[in-house]
Amino acid sequence: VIANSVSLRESPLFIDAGQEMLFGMLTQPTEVGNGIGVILLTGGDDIPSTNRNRVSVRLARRLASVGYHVLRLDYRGVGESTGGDNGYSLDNLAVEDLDAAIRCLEQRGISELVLAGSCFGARTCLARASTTLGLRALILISSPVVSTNPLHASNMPLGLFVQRMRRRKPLRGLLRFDKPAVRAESKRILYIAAGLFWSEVRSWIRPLKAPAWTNVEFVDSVAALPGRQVPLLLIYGDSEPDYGEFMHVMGDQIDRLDENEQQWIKLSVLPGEVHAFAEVDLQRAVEDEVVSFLFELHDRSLAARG
Amino acid sequence: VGQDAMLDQIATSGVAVRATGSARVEVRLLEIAGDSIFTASHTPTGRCRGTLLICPPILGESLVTYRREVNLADMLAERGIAVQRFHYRGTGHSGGSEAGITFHAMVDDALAALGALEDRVGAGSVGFLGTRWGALVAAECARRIGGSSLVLWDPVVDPNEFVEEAIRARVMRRMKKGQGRRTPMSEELAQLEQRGWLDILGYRLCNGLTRSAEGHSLTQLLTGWEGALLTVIFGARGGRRAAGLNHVKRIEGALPSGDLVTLPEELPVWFSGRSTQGSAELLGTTSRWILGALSGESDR
Repeated sequence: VIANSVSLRESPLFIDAGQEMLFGMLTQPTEVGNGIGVILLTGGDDIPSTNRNRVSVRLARRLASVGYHVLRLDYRGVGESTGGDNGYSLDNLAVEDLDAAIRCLEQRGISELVLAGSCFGARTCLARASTTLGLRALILISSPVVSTNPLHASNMPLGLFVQRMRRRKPLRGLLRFDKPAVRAESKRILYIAAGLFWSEVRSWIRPLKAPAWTNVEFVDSVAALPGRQVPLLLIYGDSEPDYGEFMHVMGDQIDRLDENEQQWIKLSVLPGEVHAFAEVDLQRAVEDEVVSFLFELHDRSLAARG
Repeated sequence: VGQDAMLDQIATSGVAVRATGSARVEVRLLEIAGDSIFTASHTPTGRCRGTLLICPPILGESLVTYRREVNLADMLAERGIAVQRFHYRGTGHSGGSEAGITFHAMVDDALAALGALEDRVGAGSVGFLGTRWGALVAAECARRIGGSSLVLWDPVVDPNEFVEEAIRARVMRRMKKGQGRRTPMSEELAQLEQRGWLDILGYRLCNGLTRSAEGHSLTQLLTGWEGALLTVIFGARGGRRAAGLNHVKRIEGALPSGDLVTLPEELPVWFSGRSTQGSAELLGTTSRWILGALSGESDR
């Protein structure tokens, strides 16, 4: 029995994506919506489309209650979708899955889109920002800026790399004789660390001009958004390495934008570590940021339509 | 919370279907008491040889076991067993909020999900599979439905111990982050009572659940129960070191006689790594046992 106050409708669906069937949950207003679709993507650790502690479920329902058509998607090999280990990494983004989700909404007559993702999902959204014609806004939560190519990473400033190393604990990993994969990863990190140390010494003699350890597409895509007048919301936690790296790379660029361009970018920095959604209060804070950003977009959209 | 309650009044529509060889998967949202329950039914296209209900774990552990359960369900459906998976209300894609989760509501959800499957494929021999906390729910379902079989993946033996384990994980994370001192268990439990919930690594553990689960240890639930039982212990928990040996001994002491298997595969809980698809050994061992228990046939 559904109460009279029902304003949302949820529909499960499978989406054709080549050889795989991707699972999605579409949350929509029962009345006519605002015509804008939102695609929610999770991080890359095989997290299903609910996201940790249903962050995406709550977001979808809150956004649909004001008129958005929200699709949360299981990547292939994750959640209810078909497929095995997908081997996703920052060098192998889930753009085919995102394309399938975009097509799914377009087939339902929804071509104006907001792409929102966290970590790996953020980079996937960004990878399609330039080619999505109906892009109305982009939301990137704890988006990494690094390139995963070790040769590029070896040019990262030592301070930033040390932060990363603290998280991975490579010295401890080196002693995990029972886990060859952990040992191999630790060796790789320490190898890079040695290279970094040398780079640091070298940079005292001749400073590096450009941060080669960053992902070029990330920098270019973010920098291009104000020119396209696409609103961008960036959310980071102040204690996560991604934020330090983002500011190192993009801080000056954002400062250099003129007032007109800056109105298209909102940087929201929350206390703590947003990245893994490992605290309930931070989850709520992120949800509130996203909802208020998209409420504003919704209002602007209504005003534009008179 | 008020806002959540409002948003939980959600209509559901449609069913998503995918075919997998000689089976099909139907995902739908069931309506129960004004809320929705997410269900995924994996059914054989040919003759159905029995039904299995999978009761998932709770909190972050539900992410770790998700694909193992999906893959096991696919595998069994292709061998003639109809499998129902579901999300408890207040979790996953289902409606409801965490504050409304109780042990009894979880059992109601499980039985409603089973009923929905049986409406489609007919009632036959029934089995339940529960992982971690889901083992308690599965055991209660098995107790209520005579003649059923039961599979337990790394079962929680006592709900109070699970709560203490969860609190230790919470304290460890906080200390690791340098966000506070090591608080005594009594202080954390008092906070759970006063505030009504604790943040366990990004999940709300509410006192409605912990209170309602009191007195529902596996031993209490399965006293006098005589069905077929398979228990699977993972990784170091079933290893040859003292902790593993003690854990296995404890499980054996808490449960009625049945089959017990230890596998090298780790089932990381609390500070989990990524979810994996589940080893062939885990899926093969479990599916063969279920086929034998539900249909009297072994898998060839």
